[in-house]
Amino acid sequence: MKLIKNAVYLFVASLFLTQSCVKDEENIFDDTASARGQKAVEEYRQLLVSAENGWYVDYYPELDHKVGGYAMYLKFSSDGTVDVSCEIATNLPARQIETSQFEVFMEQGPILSFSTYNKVMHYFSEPYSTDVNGREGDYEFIIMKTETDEIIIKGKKGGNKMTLRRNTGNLNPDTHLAEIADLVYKLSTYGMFEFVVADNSIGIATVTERTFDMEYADNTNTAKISYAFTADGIKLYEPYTLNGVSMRNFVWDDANERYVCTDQGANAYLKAYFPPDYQIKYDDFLGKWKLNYQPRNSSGWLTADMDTVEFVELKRNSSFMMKCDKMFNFAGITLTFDSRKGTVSINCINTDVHSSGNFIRQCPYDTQAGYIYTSVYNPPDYLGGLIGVWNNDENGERIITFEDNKVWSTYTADGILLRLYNASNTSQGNYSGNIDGKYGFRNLVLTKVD
Amino acid sequence: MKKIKIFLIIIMTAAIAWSCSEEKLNDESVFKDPDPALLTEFDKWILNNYTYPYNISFKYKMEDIESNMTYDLVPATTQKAIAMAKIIKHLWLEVYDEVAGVDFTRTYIPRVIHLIGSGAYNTNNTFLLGTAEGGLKVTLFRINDLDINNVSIELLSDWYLKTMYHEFAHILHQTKDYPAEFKAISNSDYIGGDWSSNSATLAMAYQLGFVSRYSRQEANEDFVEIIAIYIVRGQANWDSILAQAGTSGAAIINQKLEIIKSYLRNSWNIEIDELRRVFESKASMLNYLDLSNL
Repeated sequence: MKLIKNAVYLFVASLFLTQSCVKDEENIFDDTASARGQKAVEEYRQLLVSAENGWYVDYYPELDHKVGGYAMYLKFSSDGTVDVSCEIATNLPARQIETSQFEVFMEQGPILSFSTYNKVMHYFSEPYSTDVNGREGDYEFIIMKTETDEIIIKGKKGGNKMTLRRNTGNLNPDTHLAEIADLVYKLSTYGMFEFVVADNSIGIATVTERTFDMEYADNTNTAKISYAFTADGIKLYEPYTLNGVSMRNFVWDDANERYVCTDQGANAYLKAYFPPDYQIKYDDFLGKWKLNYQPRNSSGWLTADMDTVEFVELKRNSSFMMKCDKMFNFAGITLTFDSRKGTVSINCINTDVHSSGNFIRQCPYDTQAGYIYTSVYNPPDYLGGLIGVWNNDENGERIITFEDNKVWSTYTADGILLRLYNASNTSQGNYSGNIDGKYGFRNLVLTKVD
Repeated sequence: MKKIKIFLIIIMTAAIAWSCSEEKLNDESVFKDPDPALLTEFDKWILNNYTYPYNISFKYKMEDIESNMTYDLVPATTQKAIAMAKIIKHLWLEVYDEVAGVDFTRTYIPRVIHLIGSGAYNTNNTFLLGTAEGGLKVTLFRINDLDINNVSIELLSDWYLKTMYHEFAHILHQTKDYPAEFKAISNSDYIGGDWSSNSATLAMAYQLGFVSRYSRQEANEDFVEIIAIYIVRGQANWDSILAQAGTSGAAIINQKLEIIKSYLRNSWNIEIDELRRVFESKASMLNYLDLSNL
């Protein structure tokens, strides 16, 4: 028995002896974790401030880069302020520089935060009662990787990765961003592109907010490729890889109307694409047309007439104002443009505000039945109206006639009628205050004047 | 054998004593004060007007993790944050200072005030004006909508001050509870989350003896709503509520107000009418407050 007892004692004692601790654990770092964090924060701040000519970044709002990026200029100062400007006009004049504060601090990782309101930066994140998420842009970023001339950041909520590129070439931000804006403006008339890789057409890309919606030729798949504009072309959010070839940077070739990939080993381009039923390009609509029409006033239809009208840009690639001082004593008739088909339409739109404060509304008009379509155009609703049909003679005269677009099922529009509406959308009668009391027009035919 | 035992015991004791040696603590704190070189004039003003006297962290720079991540929000502009900092000090902190003494204010006031530039919008066409968390932090939204050149006490009260008086009253009753008889008065008319349903109208709330629709959430909310509305909305507004409440509704509201008056008097040595008087007198000086400069 004693023997067992002693054995137990010895065993227990030996346990204590074997109990050891790793006494000589070496610190891997010389400093504490918090001290290292502080130091890193200071280094990141120094790096940001060190770019005397600032940084450029393609800023991608919205989760998962659903839409494309916007060129932005950032200049950090040692007093904790940052200047921000962007290629697009938002709630202030385009490329105006706005100053606010920035911070660098540690959470799970180093964070760059635009912590006080900046009209340019926070335009992309501002929520509204009518759009509670706003454009979902980030203004707090995790600093992922830094090099002397490049900082990779990732939006904390949206997760988009963006690269701050040091402005080594000392590009003037106003000039540089204006160059980009000019290219955006110029290229905004192209609604579709054919993607050609190694001389094979791989599909058609439809443009929506700086994103190519790819429909592949073999119908296997679809893809969204988002991009941002550069001064001479576009840069994709991330490389697009096909058959082992990686493509990201494209330069616009104006003569051939195509984006050409400049990446090594790539033989690819995106060529402006016009579907077979495409009519006329936006830019070709601009300028003077002859308009044949038959007007009416309160005493009825008058004899047919002809005047010269002018198509003026209202919203690029989206709408025109058809002006004519002899026909209208207000801005004119608004025509909507479909960039996918190259067609114009006359929809039910408040085209101008009358001096009385009422809206002048152009209503599609069934002149036979004597009915008008009054619901204001608000895509995708209330699309009723007249669509322009081209005579499809590439070489001869360009002639456009108008016919009902078959949205208004009860009646068939063959003209337009001008009517006044007050702010609460109540009709104030026909607009007989127009020149010669003419408030109705039908049998519209446009002929391009060269 | 005993000797062996003793021997073993000695060894064991030694083994225990021979444990890990303690590492010396680093005498440098891991918490660093902010670099004074990076403090703006406004930061220094906050230190002198909020942090040192009241131990309040006044966060005018947006911190995502301090806010509700389910909302999309933007920061406040520095200009408007300066205006708000002055308004809150003048019409909230200093009102309590004057009535109950600065020690009272600095003991019970929430420790964090966080400003957000945008509203926190919900999809059902409502939005948050302010939130408070456990008496510790008050968050105020829509700071960027403040028009510095055109402030009115009514707007400030509706948007911000009512919320602050409301939340602070919560802190008071959570520290010292109010008499149970208050809870009994409208016990059957508290309807929880249904207070915001369309059928629970404001007129109905008045007639049942409440000063707002939200009061019907529960007794604590009822209690603090009376305090906040009584202080910031003024006598004319109060009379109008009583008139709309009708005889029975007004009687209930007055009964509740009397309990509140004696509670504040007995538990905190505060006269609610004095709070209101000081609030109104400070509100009348609002136009003399320089909201644009520190």
